[in-house]
Amino acid sequence: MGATEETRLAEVLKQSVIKGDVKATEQTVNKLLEMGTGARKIFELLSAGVLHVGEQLSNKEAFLPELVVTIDAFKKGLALIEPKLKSEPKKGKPLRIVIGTVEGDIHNIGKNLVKTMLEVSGHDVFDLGVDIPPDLFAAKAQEHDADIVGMSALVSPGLMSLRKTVERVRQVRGDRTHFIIGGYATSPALAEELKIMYAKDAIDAVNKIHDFINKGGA
Amino acid sequence: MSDFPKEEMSTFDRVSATFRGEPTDRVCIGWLGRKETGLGLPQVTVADVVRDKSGVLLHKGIKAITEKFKPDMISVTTYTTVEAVAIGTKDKYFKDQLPAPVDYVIKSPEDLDRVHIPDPRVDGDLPCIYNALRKVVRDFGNHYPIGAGTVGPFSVGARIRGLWDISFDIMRRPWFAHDVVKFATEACINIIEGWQSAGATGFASGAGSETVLSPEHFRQFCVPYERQYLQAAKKMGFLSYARHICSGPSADLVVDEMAKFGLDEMPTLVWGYYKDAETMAQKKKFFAEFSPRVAVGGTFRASDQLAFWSPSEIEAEVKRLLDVCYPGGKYVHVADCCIPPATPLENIEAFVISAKKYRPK
Repeated sequence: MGATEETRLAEVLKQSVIKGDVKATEQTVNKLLEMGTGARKIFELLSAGVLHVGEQLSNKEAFLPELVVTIDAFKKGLALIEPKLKSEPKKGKPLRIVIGTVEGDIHNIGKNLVKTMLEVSGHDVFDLGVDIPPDLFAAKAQEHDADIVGMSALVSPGLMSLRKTVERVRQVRGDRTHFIIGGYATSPALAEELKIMYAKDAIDAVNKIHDFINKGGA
Repeated sequence: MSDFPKEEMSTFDRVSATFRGEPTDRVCIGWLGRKETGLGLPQVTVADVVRDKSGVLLHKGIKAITEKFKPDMISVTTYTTVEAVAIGTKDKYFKDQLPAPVDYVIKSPEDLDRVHIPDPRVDGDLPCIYNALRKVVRDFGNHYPIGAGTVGPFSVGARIRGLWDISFDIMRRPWFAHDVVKFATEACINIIEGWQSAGATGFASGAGSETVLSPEHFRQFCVPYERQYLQAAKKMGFLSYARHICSGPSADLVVDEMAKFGLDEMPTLVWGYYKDAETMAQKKKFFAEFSPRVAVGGTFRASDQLAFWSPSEIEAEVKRLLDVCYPGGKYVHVADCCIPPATPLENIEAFVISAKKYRPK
């Protein structure tokens, strides 16, 4: 009976996040906590809702407004489990990812979506913010022992900074840190030239990093 | 210049014939993006130009580019947050780059009562455009159609409220999103009244904020306000409308919705992001069902192909594009979006000259 109810609530929670229904999300999280469901499990259910809408976004079945409310519901649900979540161990070894928008560019929506998608996929993400100079990317990659540096560039002048960042991080980190780029100004051709990963959207970033791990990248 | 075929039409005749789909002596060349930045004025930064309220530097930049490349249209613009900044949004400048908003003026419904509709002659950086426009009209008005515009009601709304927050409002409190876009519509109308009084004959609209919306939200939050803006422009006496489709997740879905703006009101150019040349040619036929005077242009990626390719690569791509899109007219040769400030002049030259030399097979 308990397991059946937990299974039902799990689906309710995922759907609440997909719909961006904050009230239903919070109620369901509280019910699951009362039933003794682990915070890590609840996090995975919340995340499943976000990833679902991320997939829809990638397939042009949902757009920014739909994703904004999904992320809102996710964050409200997350706030209820965060204290417990910190005390529970993560499954497997998460990647350490330093992420930011390159110097000369302050667009952050795409970067924030990628950050959220990577976090809900279980990785440790260190968000540096926007307008990040190459030296700061390199210093933070070193400080956090980053497996991956993720860079977003919407406007093309940012590409010069992006190239410098790859160079600076490689000087400091050698081949211990890999790169993923995205944003309107970037392209698969640029990624190929720099021998780094390219993501066309947030869910593609998750998939590319998943492939990277499967190939023994970290 | 001897290898140029003789030009037999004035720019006005060429532009008119292009919109009607009649034969022209050569391809109609549209405006050349961000004239204010570095292209015509080396050693001058973006901030120097767009914050110069006299418009002298912007005028000089446009003059330099117009005299060098001799396009068929002139657009007097600076950057895509200028309307929002005039309303109160704060922006940040970067060296040799376009500015971007950092703090949005509308944080709550009450803020809509605190802001005022901007006057393009005095508010924010709008006087730069107003004053430059008057000078450009004085110098070139007898030879070129001259346009100026705004990023349009929804995109101004997104730039005073913030794209993330207006997206949230659309889902949770749509009345507020509507109020923001209504205010933005009034602002856009007031701004182009100023452009009209300064001598502009064409007006413009469109930016990237609206291409993050689903077609349904586009129909609700963009179409009715754009119609109002277009109808107001017609009443003011504007003669043409340049409607931009900026790249975004739903750009290829909402483009068809633009037919609902009322494209038969005046000659219209729907330009910007199209997936490829073939799609643009297909949309040209689609828009023709709504009005006999709609042209298309764009698809050539300003931030990638134009900024980073070699001149010979650009020439080859222009030829391929024109083979697909020029037949039947109703095609204006423009890049898909604003030209990045650091784009090499020789690349712009390749883009323009190869189109001017082009003749159909």
